[in-house]
Amino acid sequence: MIYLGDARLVIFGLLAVLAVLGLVWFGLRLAGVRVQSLLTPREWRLAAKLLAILGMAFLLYQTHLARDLPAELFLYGRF
Amino acid sequence: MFETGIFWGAVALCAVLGRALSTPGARAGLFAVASALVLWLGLGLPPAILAGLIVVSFWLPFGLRLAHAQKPFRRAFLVFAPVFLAWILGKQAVAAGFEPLSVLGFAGFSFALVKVWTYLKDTVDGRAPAQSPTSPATPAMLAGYLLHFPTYTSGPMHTYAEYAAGLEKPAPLDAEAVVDLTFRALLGFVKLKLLAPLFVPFSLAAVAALPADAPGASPGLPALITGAFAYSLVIFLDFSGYSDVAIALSRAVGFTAPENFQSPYLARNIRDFWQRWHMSFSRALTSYVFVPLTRALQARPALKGKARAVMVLAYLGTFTFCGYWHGPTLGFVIWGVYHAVGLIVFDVVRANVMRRRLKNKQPPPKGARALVGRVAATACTFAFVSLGWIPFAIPLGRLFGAGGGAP
Repeated sequence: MIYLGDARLVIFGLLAVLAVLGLVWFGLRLAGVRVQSLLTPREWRLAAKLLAILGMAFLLYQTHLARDLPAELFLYGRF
Repeated sequence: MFETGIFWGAVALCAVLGRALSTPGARAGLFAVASALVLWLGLGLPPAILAGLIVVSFWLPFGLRLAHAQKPFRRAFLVFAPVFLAWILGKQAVAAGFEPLSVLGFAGFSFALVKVWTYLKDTVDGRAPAQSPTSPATPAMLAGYLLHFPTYTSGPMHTYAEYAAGLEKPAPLDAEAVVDLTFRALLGFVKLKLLAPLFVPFSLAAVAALPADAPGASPGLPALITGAFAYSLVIFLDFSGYSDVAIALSRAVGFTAPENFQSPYLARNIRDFWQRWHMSFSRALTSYVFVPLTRALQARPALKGKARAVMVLAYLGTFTFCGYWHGPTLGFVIWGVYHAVGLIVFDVVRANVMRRRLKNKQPPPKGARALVGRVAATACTFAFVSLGWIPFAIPLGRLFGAGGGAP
């Protein structure tokens, strides 16, 4: 079993967001709304790129933290 | 370079001011000055190189006027010769560790060399637009072209016509373009900062970074092969990531840079690979080195009617130059010749297969057989390219010591 530590918070958070999105999608389907028709293909592409921008910015920020500010710096108040 | 404030300041300034200025001449001046400052203060480009490139941008129009009575190819080559000579001197100075001249071997200078040759060849062949505000090019336009800061260190390389199009009419920057180029730049940074470093410890890059006498510095064959496959991923992610950022930032300041990569490891043969890998350089190699060299060889009486000999010599000449262009060591030249041999073998085999198919009226394979063939061809091409990185990444002295070293 891989020890996930505090990463569990991030993983559960992401799963919760996915679950909410899934529920919204199912809700709209049940209400007879076709999700795809809410936006044009061009707008969907743009929306996907905006989401990817957020995701990549988050990943790069986390990488910066992990690489440039490793946990050892913070242990025992040495930072 | 991407870490410096002056770089991002120049991107913002050129994106706004470049579009506000009304004439290509004014834009050319802005980009020439901004690029020179970014390369000097941000990248730390030695002033000698900067001064040299500015001298070159004055020399090109002057030299073309001076040699106007010559035939087109000779005219281009006469103007090119001093720049080429300086480049060779710089490369050899780097190889010999001769400090006073070694500044000439600076990485971006090789990109400038290609830009100079493509500009000269296009100009003498009449490929530059005849009636245009950017033609004939002024020294400021050429300085901006040679020093174009978003793409200076690793490309992609514009032709002058592509650069001039951005000077005449900067690429529009609406909200959708901002999303597009932000996405592209971030994708590039993810490849550069996040994905490429994941494979570095397993790759030839890690071996090359070891001191020559360290354990594992002369790896055995299995370590070399696995390192080569990992290095394939490292060099692709690193280089294509840089290209993504450079293309996005070039677009931000108003220029549409050519694409540099198109899924190169999905290539089905080595020729296909070179149409997908470092495309702006491959284009320059094909149109401005291979084709003129082939024509020159075909014109020689001793080679009249010997198409295969011409093809072999043209590939070897072009790819020996390609190897040397990457670095002034035997390892790079061997890498170039390795690819030339691959291309020659591929061309000969393909010609034979096509001839046999035509003779036997045999249709190309279809269905599952074709799919298996495509997958096998892609895997073989990837393996061929990956193994080729060994002399590219590891100094030959260490390779000769391989076998008895640590795995």
